[in-house]
Amino acid sequence: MPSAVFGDFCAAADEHITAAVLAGNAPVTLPDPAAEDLCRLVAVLSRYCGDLAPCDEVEASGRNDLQAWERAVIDAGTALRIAGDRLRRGAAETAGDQTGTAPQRARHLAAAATALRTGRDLLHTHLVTDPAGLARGTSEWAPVVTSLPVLRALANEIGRWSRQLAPLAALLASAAAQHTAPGGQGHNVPVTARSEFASASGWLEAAGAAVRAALDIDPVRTSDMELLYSVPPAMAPERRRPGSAGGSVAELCDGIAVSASRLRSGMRHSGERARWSPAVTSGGWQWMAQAAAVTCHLSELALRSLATRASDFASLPVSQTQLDAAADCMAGMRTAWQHVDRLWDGMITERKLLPTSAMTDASDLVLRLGRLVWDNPHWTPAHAQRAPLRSPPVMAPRAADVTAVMAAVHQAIDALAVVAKADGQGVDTASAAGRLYVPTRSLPGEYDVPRPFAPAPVTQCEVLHEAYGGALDATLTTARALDELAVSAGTPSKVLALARAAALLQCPQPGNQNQPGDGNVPGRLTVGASFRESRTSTGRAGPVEQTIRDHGVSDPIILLRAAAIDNAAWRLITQAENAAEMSNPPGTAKSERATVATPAQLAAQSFPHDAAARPSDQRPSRSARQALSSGIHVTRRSW
Amino acid sequence: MNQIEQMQQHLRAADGVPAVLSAGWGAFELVQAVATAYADQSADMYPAFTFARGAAVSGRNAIACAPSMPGGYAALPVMTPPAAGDVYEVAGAVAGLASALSARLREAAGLAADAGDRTACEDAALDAEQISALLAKGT
Repeated sequence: MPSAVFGDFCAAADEHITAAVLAGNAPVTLPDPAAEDLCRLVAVLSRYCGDLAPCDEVEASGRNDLQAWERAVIDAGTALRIAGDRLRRGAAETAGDQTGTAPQRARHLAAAATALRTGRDLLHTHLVTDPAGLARGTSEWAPVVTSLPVLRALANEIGRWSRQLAPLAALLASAAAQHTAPGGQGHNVPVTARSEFASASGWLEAAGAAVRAALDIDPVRTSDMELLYSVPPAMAPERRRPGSAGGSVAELCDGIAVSASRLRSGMRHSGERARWSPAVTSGGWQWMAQAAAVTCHLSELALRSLATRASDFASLPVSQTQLDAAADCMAGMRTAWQHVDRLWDGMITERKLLPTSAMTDASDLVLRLGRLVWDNPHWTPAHAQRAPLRSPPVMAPRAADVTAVMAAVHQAIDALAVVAKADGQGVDTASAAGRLYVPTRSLPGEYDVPRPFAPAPVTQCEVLHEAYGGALDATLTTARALDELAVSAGTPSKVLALARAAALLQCPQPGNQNQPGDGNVPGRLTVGASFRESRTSTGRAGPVEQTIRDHGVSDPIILLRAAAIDNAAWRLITQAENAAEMSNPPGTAKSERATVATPAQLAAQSFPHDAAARPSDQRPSRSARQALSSGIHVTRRSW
Repeated sequence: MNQIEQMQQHLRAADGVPAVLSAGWGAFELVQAVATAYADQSADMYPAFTFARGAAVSGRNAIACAPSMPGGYAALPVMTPPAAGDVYEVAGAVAGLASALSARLREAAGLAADAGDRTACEDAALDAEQISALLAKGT
């Protein structure tokens, strides 16, 4: 059973609020528990605004750098707090002995408050506040929860609910006007109760209006809502053991999503544990690098198979070329992980390999991918279980199966991006803590160390650090290529693409440590990006994406489309250059080659912000260097 | 293939715990080198060779911990480029070597007076068995 997501609680709250409003024809007779339940619901909405606001209203009054949505949540939060206060006072004035079952309206309001409170708890599972008051992410979804798209979507919902609830408060005000105080003395309740409820209604309208103002400036996108509704709790789903009888393609794809999710979750805090935990070992790191390389290998085979199938489905929104390009990225990623794996040949920690839960999940992932790719339901990595490739029509009989397999591969690669980041950090920590050693038997003869192991030389640790950086770059490049495919095809894994894009757009909430550039968020280009830059080639924003960003556009879908255009341009230029190279053997005069290369140059020059005369000595990024070097030469005995 | 056969002879000839440990180190290094060279030769054997490499490194490191392990630099086996089409045979041969290695390490564990040697031999034998399980052709 899939775990609940934020959307489940939002939908439940929405349903109950609508039901409470639709019960408007039912008479209100004070004391009505609906007043207190409405008060509680408004308090929850107010707390949501408090979570989202970058500062309080006092500080906000002196700032002119706040964006429309930041201003909106501050204003809406203030309005909701006042509305809640008014409702509380009104409810207190009209309180009386209430017995029996609460009226339907009150029950709906109470249920909505409970659903929203639970939803807020779900969002809070991704963040913890440290003793210094700084919010720290506890999951890979933390930068999404604190992103602008999620803020927009959530604030929009709060505004909408506030507007829906305003008439209920007005109804309470009207009931208060006719209410007779308990005891039947014939005295009306003080006029203040009526005015409190009426005022609350006005403030609820004001909260809605504050949000509406932001909507006019920066509308909420469908993708924002999709992302908000997809936020899962920061907990791993239950493990599903790969069955001994294999399973259908659909079951394998579902299982891969579960294993990937568990793997992401299992990697949390592993970097911190590397300083002291005996369970974090060189054997574990090496095994994980090997599992990553095998995952890339199997994923590449799956994508190549899908590529041959793509032309059979006219309705499929992704082409054979796109699938092959993603498979090419996968090959580069495998090389990077192999490099990491081989560096571990000569380094160890003080402990022998101890299996971890993350290794179990990575193992499940490999098994399932293997059973998806090879025509053997009992496949394991062992020689004895080798089998022919599953034929493309068997792997993906329908277009929906193509997208399901694509989504499974996307999930797997996204999980490896988390592994690359966490293990890279873990290795740095272990290195700083002096936990990395080399076997002295592997050192050249002139070293006379009377112990079996010696501390790893700093240079060797640095090489390992660089290798993990390379693996992370290559994995992110592949993940972004798959993001494009997922968005184009609308696969269930599309939310991973939206989340990655949203994480780039951080809101300056108090104590928010999830700032762009932190961890796996790619850096920003400065001015005039070249078509040499693209998410696929260098992992950085290309010229189209950069221009879109410079215009302040933050829609993840538009940014992904821009990245896709940059990637396509880079591929086209590379293709054109290769064709030019082939038609101009090495002996061809330079001037002649320049003429042939003109179409590619023209393509690059046609972009208004591109510096056509950009010097060619621009240093490529680490991932570009890696992609360019067709094979990383690794000397096993680098010590 | 010659190197694998030579290594098997070397293992058979090893006498005493230190000699088995030293031969074991060489055998694991050879498995590691062969697995590295052959992993990319066949798509269906890539996972088996990749994980076998890891087990070889683990076994070698386990042996390095043994108190009776002789010191000194161990020369890296020189691998000749693999011939196409031999991958499955080579895998089978390496599995045979790993099986023999496991047996010798178990024997050595039984003979070892030092608890550290026993543990190292038993750990390394497990790694050798894993290599054998990964690369053996099966029935």
